[in-house]
Amino acid sequence: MEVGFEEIAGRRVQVAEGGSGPPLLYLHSAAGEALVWLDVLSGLAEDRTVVAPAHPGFWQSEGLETIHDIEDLANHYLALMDARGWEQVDVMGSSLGGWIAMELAARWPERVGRMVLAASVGIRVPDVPMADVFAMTLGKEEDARALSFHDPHHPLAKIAIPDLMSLNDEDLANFLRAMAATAKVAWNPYMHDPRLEGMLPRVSADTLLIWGRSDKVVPVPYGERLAELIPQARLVVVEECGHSIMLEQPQAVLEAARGHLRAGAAAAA
Amino acid sequence: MKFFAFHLMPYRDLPDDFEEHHDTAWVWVPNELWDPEKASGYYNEYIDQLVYAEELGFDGVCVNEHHQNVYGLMPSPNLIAAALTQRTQRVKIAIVGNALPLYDPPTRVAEEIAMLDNMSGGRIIAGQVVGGGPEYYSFSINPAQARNRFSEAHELIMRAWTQPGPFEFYGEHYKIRYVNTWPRPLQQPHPPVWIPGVGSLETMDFVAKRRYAYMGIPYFHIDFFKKTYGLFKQACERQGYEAHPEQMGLLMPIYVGETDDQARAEFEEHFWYFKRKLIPGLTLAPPGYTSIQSALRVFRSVDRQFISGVESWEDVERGTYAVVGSPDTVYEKLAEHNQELGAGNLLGLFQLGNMPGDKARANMARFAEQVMPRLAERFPNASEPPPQQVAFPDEQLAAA
Repeated sequence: MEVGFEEIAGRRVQVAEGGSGPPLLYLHSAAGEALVWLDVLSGLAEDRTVVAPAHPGFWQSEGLETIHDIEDLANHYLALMDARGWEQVDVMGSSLGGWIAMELAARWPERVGRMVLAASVGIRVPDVPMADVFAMTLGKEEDARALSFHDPHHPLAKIAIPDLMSLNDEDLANFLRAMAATAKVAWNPYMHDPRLEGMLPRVSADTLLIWGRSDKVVPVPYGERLAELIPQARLVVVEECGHSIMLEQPQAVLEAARGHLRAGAAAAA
Repeated sequence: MKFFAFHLMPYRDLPDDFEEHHDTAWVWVPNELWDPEKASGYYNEYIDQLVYAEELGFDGVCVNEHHQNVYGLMPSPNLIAAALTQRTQRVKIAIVGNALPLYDPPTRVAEEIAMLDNMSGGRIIAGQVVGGGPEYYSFSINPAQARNRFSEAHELIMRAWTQPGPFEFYGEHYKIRYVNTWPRPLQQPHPPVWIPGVGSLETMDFVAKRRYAYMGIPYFHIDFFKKTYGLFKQACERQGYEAHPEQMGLLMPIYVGETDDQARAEFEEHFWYFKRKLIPGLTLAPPGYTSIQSALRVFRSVDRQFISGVESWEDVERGTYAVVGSPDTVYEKLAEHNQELGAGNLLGLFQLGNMPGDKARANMARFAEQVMPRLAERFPNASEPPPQQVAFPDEQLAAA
C-alpha cells in the first residue's frame, strides 16, 4: 500500500492505494481508517486495486472549507471517479463512508457497480436512537469503547479509541481534525440526510449490508430498513460485533465483502 | 479601575449527592431536578443583588447567557437586563451574552440590544459571544460553523446598528433581503462591544483590530491570565496602539470576610459546590468549535491550569481561582495580580455556587466599602477614554 497526494475537485487529498485488479473505492468512517490499511483492505487488495482516499479534513487532506454537507462529499467522490476515468466502480463504505456511498449511488446509479455498506449511517429510523458519537469526550474514553465495540476490551478498542490525554500533539490533532470534519457534515441532522430515504429506491447497485449484532451507534434496525429501501440489497448480521465492525470482526467482514464483490466479477465475466 | 458585579444566577438547591449520580451539570442534566418551590424566588433575589450593587457604588453589573444547565440560569440575559433597566438608574449593564450563532436571524439580537439601550438611557454594554461548547449540543448548531457564524452575525449586527437601512445582507449563513432595524441604539454609533475569549490569538486579533474590549474567560490559573493579557496587549501593539486598561476585563470569584479565617470559613463550602457540582461539563468542546491549534492549547491547559483540576484549598490559593480573605488580603492580592495584568475593568463574582443571599450581599458590601476605594486609588482611571471602537476597520482604511 502506498499513500500519495492527488488533487480532486480542487482539493489536495491523501489517497492510500494498494493491490491489483479491478478498482474498489473504499470510503472510510469517522475514524479515518483509510490510511491505516486495515486487514480487511489488505485482504480485498488480493484481487482488487483498493483506492482509499482520506476525506477532506481528515489526516492531511485539505479542502474541508468547501464541504458543507454530505452532498458535497458525494460530489467530491464523483469528481474522483471522473478523474480516474471510472465509468462505473464498486464502492465499499464503513459508517460515514457508507453514507457517502449511498449518496453517490442514489444520485448517479449508473456509476456504482456493486456496493458494500458496513454499519452505515445516513438515514434515521424513528424510535431507534443512535448513540451520540460527538458526546464521547475527554475522560469518557471507556464509555466510548463500550459504545463502539461488542467487547470493549478487544485488543484494538484502545487503539481505535485511545485515552486522549495520552496522545501526543500530532495524534491528538489528527483525532480532533477527524471529529471536526465529521461534525461538519453530520452534526445536524445527526448522522443522516432526510432526503436520502426518498432517493434510495433509485440505487441500482447490488448491495451487501454488513452489520454488527451489538451495534449501539447504528443499531441493526438501520440495516434492516436499508435492506427494504435499496432495491437489490441483502443484510448480513455478524454476531459478537459492535459498530467498529472493520476492527472487531475483520474476518467476517472480509469474507462477506469478498464473496459479494467476486460474485459481481463473475457475473460480468 | 471600573468595578462590575457579575452574576451567573446559579441553581442553589442541588441534592448533596448530586455529583455521585450525575457527571455533568450541562446539556443532559435532567430538568426534573428543578424544584419549582425552592427555585421560583431565585431571579428576583439575584436581581435585587445587582440592584444593590448600584447602591454600593459599583460602576456596572454583568449578566450572562447559558442554556440547559444548572450553573447559570439566564438563557436570556436580555430579559434580566430589561428588568435591570427599570430597577437601576446609573450603572452600566453589561450583557455578556448574546451567543450570536444560536440566533437566526441574528438581527433579533440587534433589535433587543437596541431596545435595551433605549430603555436604559444608553447604559448597555453589548457583549458578543460565540457561546460555550455545551450550547452547541443544546441547540444542535453545528460547532464547525461556530466561528464563521459568529463573525458573520457580528458583521450583520454592527451593520444593522450603523448602516442606513434598508440594505441587503447576503452571507454564507444569513441571507436577509431587507435589514432595517428599528429601533436604533441610543449610544451612537453603537453600544460598546465586549468579547470574551480563552486566549486564542484569532479572537484577540479580531478584538484588538476593532478596538473592542476583551474579557478573559474565568476559572483558569492566574498564570494563564497573565499570559493571556500579555498576548492581548501584544495584539493591540500589532495594530499600532497601546491597549487601554478598559479594553481588558478580569472576571474572578471574590469573597471578603472580616478576617482571613472567617472569609475562608464562610466561603469554602460554596466554592466546592460550584466546583464539584456546577463546573463539570462546562468545558465540553464539541468538534470543530475552535481551530485545531486553539483546541490543543485549551485541551492542555484545562488539564493543568483550570478549576476542574483543583482539589484542595491550597490549590485554590496557589492558582488564585478565587480571591478570598480579609479586606486587606483581598486588596493586596488583587493589587498584586493586576499590577501585571493591567485590567481596567474588574468583574467580581460575589455570589458563587449555593451562597445564600445575605452572605452574598454582605460580601458585596465589604468589598465596596473596604476594598473598592483602595483599588480605585491604586489603579486610577486613565485620563484618556478607551479608543473609539471601529466595527469595520478595513472599510475605514479603504475610505481614507
